[in-house]
Parts: sequence; structure tokens; C-alpha cells
Amino acid sequence: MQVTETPARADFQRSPGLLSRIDPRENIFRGIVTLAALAVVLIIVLMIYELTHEAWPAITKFGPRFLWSTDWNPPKARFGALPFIAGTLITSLLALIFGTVIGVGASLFLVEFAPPWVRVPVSYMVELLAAIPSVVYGLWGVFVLGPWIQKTAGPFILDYFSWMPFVHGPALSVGILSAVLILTIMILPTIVAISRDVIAAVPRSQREGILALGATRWEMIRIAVLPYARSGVLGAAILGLARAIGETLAVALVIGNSTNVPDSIFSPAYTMASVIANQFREIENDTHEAALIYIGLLLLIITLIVNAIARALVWRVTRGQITTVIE
Amino acid sequence: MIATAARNRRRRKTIDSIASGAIVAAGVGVIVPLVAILGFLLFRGLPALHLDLFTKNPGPTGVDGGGVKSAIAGTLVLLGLSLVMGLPVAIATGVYLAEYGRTRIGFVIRFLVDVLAGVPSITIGIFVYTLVVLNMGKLSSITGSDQKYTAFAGGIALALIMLPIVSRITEEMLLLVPQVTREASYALGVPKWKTITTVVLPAASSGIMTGIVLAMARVAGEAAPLLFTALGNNFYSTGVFRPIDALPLRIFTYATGPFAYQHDQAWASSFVLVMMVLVLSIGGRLVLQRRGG
Amino acid sequence: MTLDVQRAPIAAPTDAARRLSVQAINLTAWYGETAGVRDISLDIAANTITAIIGPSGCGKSTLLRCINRMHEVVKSARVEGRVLVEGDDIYASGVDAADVRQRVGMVFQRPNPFPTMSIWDNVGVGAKLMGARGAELSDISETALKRAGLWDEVRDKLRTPAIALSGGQQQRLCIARCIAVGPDVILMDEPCSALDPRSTHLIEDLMRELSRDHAVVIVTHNMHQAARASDVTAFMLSEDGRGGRLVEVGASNRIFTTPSDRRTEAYVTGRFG
Repeated sequence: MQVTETPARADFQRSPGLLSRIDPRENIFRGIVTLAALAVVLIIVLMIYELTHEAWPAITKFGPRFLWSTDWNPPKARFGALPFIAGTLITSLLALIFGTVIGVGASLFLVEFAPPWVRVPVSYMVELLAAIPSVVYGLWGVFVLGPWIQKTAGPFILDYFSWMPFVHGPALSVGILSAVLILTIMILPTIVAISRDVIAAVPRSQREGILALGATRWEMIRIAVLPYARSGVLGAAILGLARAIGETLAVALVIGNSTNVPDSIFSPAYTMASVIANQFREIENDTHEAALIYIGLLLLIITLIVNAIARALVWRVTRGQITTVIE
Repeated sequence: MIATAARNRRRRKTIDSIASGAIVAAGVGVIVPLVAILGFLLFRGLPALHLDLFTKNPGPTGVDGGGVKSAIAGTLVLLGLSLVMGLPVAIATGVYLAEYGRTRIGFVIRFLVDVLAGVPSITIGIFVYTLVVLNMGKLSSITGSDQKYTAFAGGIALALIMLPIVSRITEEMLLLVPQVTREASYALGVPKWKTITTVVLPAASSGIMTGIVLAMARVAGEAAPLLFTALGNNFYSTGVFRPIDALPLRIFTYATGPFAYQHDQAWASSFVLVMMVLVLSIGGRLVLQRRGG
Repeated sequence: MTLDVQRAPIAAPTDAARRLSVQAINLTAWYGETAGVRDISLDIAANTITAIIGPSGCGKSTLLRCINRMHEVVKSARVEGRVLVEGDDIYASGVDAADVRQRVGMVFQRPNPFPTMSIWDNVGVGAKLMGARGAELSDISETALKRAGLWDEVRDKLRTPAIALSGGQQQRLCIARCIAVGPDVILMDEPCSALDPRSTHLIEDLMRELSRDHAVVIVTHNMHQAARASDVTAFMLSEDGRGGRLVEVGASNRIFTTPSDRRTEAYVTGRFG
């Protein structure tokens, strides 16, 4: 902003001939807030440094092999993170697919279909979903969703879809599917909130342009609305992905805690975040701790990259508008 | 030719109906989980809600009864600590971004603030573990405590989660203050720092307060960053340099516990926690919307 | 005072044999509780350029949007009365708005090509919806670009994004997109208001060309444009805030020289509006 010019002029009017004199408190104030802002930089740098430092024994001992080894054996101090990397990728990508399809569908419903008396309360309810703590999702997953999958959804899927790859039993109350469903629910608010705004921002002239050519409502959405909104919707989906990757406790409660690489949607597994949550308090040796922190470092790097991509996309779409975070 | 056109038209109408049905289903679908979760919180949590929950501490494991007084107190202490440690930095960062941040370095910092907001809470927990918990021994002469896991560390972890939320809302609220308000102040010869502290910040204060309330709602429910910082405590403790219990931690422990009373208390505690969070976030949003509208 | 709404002459005065393309009968269009236009009866002849003029807020655009059922896109909008296109009541029950819009095309105030599509895809998008594919689609698109006078300018860059074109070219692209669907009627809502004089001139020539095959209806706030480019002019006015009414319809040269209504005269001589 151009405000920096004005106080200098005000100063000048107040004390002619003392153009160079600047109130020292001005510099002190500016220094304080600048320091605070630089603290954010320091925190991120320190975070990367500390995690690297504490993970160093594991990094030097296992090297890059850590990424593709499936051997996770705390008593023998042998560690490989592939089961957890696989668990994180599988659960978060599946949740991303479900969450994006449902979330974009719901955003289209809110913007293109719903009358205001439906739109306002439904938007509100979706935002409430975002406010529910992770651990409460986990509790619900343990006592409601898990038993439902074990008794109802699981047997049904096994009866009709066991010809598909990665679908074989038994259906437990915990496992990949439980985690995927919980994550899908948890990332919906993120995806809906952003893609709803992006879709609503598609100009009316674009909608009317295709309608005037005789398009149906779905053709309008497919031809004029979604292509126009695509990079914002993509950003919303990637922000959802970032949330799914980092989600911890809800997943830790429903994923089943297995250090094997999952081979079915019903397999118990671990994600990177949930293995840290469950094992960090029961560390068996120093290498175990370093290995878990190594996983934490990998998690940090992945989420930093994913977030940077998402922010860049969303920023490109909403540049110049300042109310994106609070809405 | 006419038959082809008619068939094409029918096909398009059918696709339109199917797609519209799917979109409406998605719109209805998103509220199903919310209804299911809130419904079960009422259904399982409300009957388990008992005065003992608020007035008694957890009993010996496996013995019915007891409450989560220590966890409620712990959550309040942790919230207080995170506010004390997080707010000054968060608001100052927001002021920097809004008032001095139109530069290249400001852009970088704004980006890093957003990046910090995306760091998983479990990673924040590990970071504070390595930075604070592992170094508590060096501070024992100052703190007078030999505990590694402390409420202090938990408060720092929560403050780090709060920081990006509050800074960005502060920035946005300050930018909403009209430029003429600043210029009116400059025209009276008031320097910039004084304009910010006496004119701009007060004008944006209710918006910033809302941001703080929303951030509190967010961190009140966090358990992952507390696992290896505040640790949890089976006994009542509000000491800053001692392990402390928290409501989300207690729910996490009880959710996986073997006893029915633990499950009941987990549901009841979740009910209390969700009510707390919803009151904060609904209240915050209402104020925000009234300002915005 | 009472408004005596004149019925338009059944055919354009220049050619008594011209057949009717559009008939609005006692048309009133509502936005919620407010009427945008009230009790309009207007005949529009085929192969004729009809201009609708009037001061801002008189409902000219609303009237236009009722002819291809774009009015109802706005929430809480509704219509009373009838509109016949080539004799078919477009508001009859069971008539689909999408079908109506394929018969009655529309060009908007600001060029609105689809920014994610190439020039070529923009032209063909409507025809493709109607089922045209392959060589048929290519023929339709090429013909439309030629008729819109754009072919020579874009033939070498058909695959480039449409938003790279100038404003005037974009508007002609939108006209090409519209005629590729093969409408009976082309509605233009102030199509030149965002364009420079040269582009405006090109579009006016194009309208004349289009009127050989279509009924063209143009809403304009530019009286000179109505006078030089249209055959028939309809003057609308909203005097009581209860919706715009039709004041006078007639051959453009008569409306702009010897109007029969004092209010029309006041408007065309620039005394208000």
C-alpha cells in the first residue's frame, strides 16, 4: 500500500526543517512486528532442522532404503517406512477421490440448484463438520462406522465386489476402508468451502452464454462452469489432500495398527501420522525414536510440497480478494 | 434426420436428469455424516452426561465412576497458555503483514504463514517434543521441576497451531479498515505506529477477537500435538511445568480402553467438547458474518 | 394518465408480405413482485431487423430475454402472457427452455467466449450439443465463421484460445457461435456497447447480412444505431415504475422522423432519456 508516503509528509508538516527526524518509536514498533513475522520463518527453519537433527541416526543408518523397505521391527532396531507411506498414500488418495466427487457435487448443488433457504443451512452444516475435533471423528469411527462396516457394508461389498482387485476379506471394523471413509468426511468441508466459492465466482455471462445456445443445466455445468473453475477446484482438492495426509488421531483410532503393507481395502494398516501417534509413547530404543521422527520429517516435507502447490493454485484464482481464509 | 434429432434430445435430457440427481444426492449426502455424528453424540453422550463428569477426577483404571474434571481443567489451562504465548506473536505478525507486508519479504512471510497452517498437528507435536520436551532438563533450575512432559510444552504446541490462523485473520481484518481512516489520522500528524495502535487495531478489534475465538475452537479439540508434549495425567494437575490432562487426550485414551464406563465417559466428554467447540465457532462466525454483512 | 399501447403493424412496412416470426401477446415479466415489462404485445417479422429502444430501466433487455426464455434464469423471475415463435407458444407446458433457445439465439452485451476453449471449439460448441459431429460439425463451424465475417481473420489460428482475440472479434465469434446452432431468431442485447466504432460498424453490416435468413432483434441505447441499422423500431418506456410498456412501434424511418406519440418524439429528439 502507499501509506508509507503519508506519515513522512505529516511529520514534515509538523516539524519543518526536521525532515530527517523520524520518531524512534516508529522504528521500534516496526522492529517488533517485523521480528514477530520473522519468528514464523524461524519456526519453519527450526522445525526442519530439529526434525532432521533428531532423525539423523535413522537417516544415516537406513538412508533412502528407509523409503522402500517394509521391515519394521522395533525390537531388532530395523526400520523401513514403506508400509506407512503406502498406507498414507492409499487412504489419502482414495479419500481425495471420494471427497472431491462428493464435495464438488455438493458445491454445485449449493450454487446451481439449492434455493437460499436450503443453501444457507446446508453451507452452515458443512462448516460445522470442520469444527468437530479429530478425536471425536475417531470415537465415532470406533463405535459407529467400524461396526457398520463390519456387519453391513463389508459383507455387502464382499458379496458383490470381491471380483475386484484389492477387495477380499475378512471385513473388520478397522482398516483401510474405515480410514478412507473417515478421511472423506473430514476433508469434505475444506473442499466444499473453497470449490463453492470458486464455482459461485464463475461469471453469469459464462453461464448465460452456453444456456443461450440451448444447453441443459448439466451441459452448462460441464461446459461453462467446471472448466472455468477448474484450477480453484483443483486447489481445493489438493488442500483436502494435505489435510488427509496429516490427519492423525481419527485415523489412528480406526486404521487397525498393522505394520504390514495393506493388500485389501479391509486390511488393517498404519499411516505415517498414525504410526507416530501410536508408537511414539512406547519407544523401544533410540533408533526407534529416530525412525519415527524420520517419518515425521517425511510427513512434513510431503505436506509442505502439497500445501505449496495448493496455495499457489488457490492464490492464482482468488488473487486480489482478501476474504478467502475466513470464508 | 428428425428421428436422430429427437433421439439426441432425449439422450441429453436423460443425462441431465441423471447428473442433476447425482448432484442433489451429493448435496444431501454431505449432511448425512454431520447428522450421524451429532445424532450419536446426543444418543450416546447425553445419557452418559453426569455431574460427576465435571466434579470428579478419573478413578483407578477399571473401576466404574469418576469423571474428567482434571481433563476439563487441563484443557482450560492449555488454552490459556497457548493464548498467552501465541497471541502476541500472532497479532504482531498480522500487523506486519497488513501494514508493512506489501514487499517481497512480506509475500514470502505470508506464504510461510499459510504453509505453517498446513503442517500436520502431529508434526507440530514432534517438533515441540524435540525442541522443548528433550531440553526441559536444562531448564530444571529455572522451572523447579524435573518433568520432561509439561503443560508448558503443550501450550507451545497449541500456540504454533493458533499462530497462522490468528495472524491471517488479523491481517485481513486490518486490511478491511478503510484507508481513509488511516489517512485521517496521518492528516492530524499522528505517526504511523500510533495510528496503527490507537486507530487501526481498535477499529479491527472485534474481527480479530472473532479470529481468536475461532482459533481457540480449533485448538481446544486438538489431541495429536499434546500426545508427546502435555502427555496427559491421571491426576488433577494444573501446574505449568508438570504433565497435564486434556479433554481430547482423555477421549483418545478412553476410546481404545476396554471398559464400558470409559466408553460412556468418552462419549459424554466428546459431547462436552463438541458443545464447547460449536459454541465458540458458531459464536465467532455469527459475529464475523454480522460484521461482513 | 392512461397508456394506449399500440399494436404493432402486422408486417414490417417495407414489405407487406413479410411473415411473422415472433409474437408477444400481453406479456408481463416479473422479478419477484416487481414487473420488468408490463402487458407488451409486439409482432416481429422474419427477415427484418427490429430495434428496441428506450431509456435505461425501461425493460428492453427483459423483453428480449423473454423471447428465448433467458428471463427465467434469474431467480424468482416469472412471465405472464404468451410468446409465439414461428407460431409455437414457447411458454406452453411441456416446452423445454433449452429447445426454445436453440431456435432463438442470443448475443450478449459483452462478448462472452468460453475462455478455456479454442476459437474452433467455441464456434462449434452449440452445434455439437445438438448432435453434430465430424465433417458435419466442421462444415457448420466453418460456414458460421464465414457468415460472421471472421473466417479470414482466424483461419490460421483456429486452435488458439478465443480470449486472445480482440473485443470486436470476440463478439463476432459469439455471433458465429449463435448462428452455428441454426436459430430462427437472433436476439442481440446491446451487442456493440463494449466495442469501438469500427467493430460496431462491422457488426451492423453483419446484422444486415443475418437478416436475410433470420429475424434479428436488437436492444440498443444508441439511437443512431437503431436509426441506421434497423427496419422497425419499438420504443419502450417505464413511466410509473410498474414495468416498461410499449409506446410505439413502426418503420424506423418514420419513428425517427415523424413519431406519432409525443413521448417517442421527446425521446428520439433527445429531450430526455
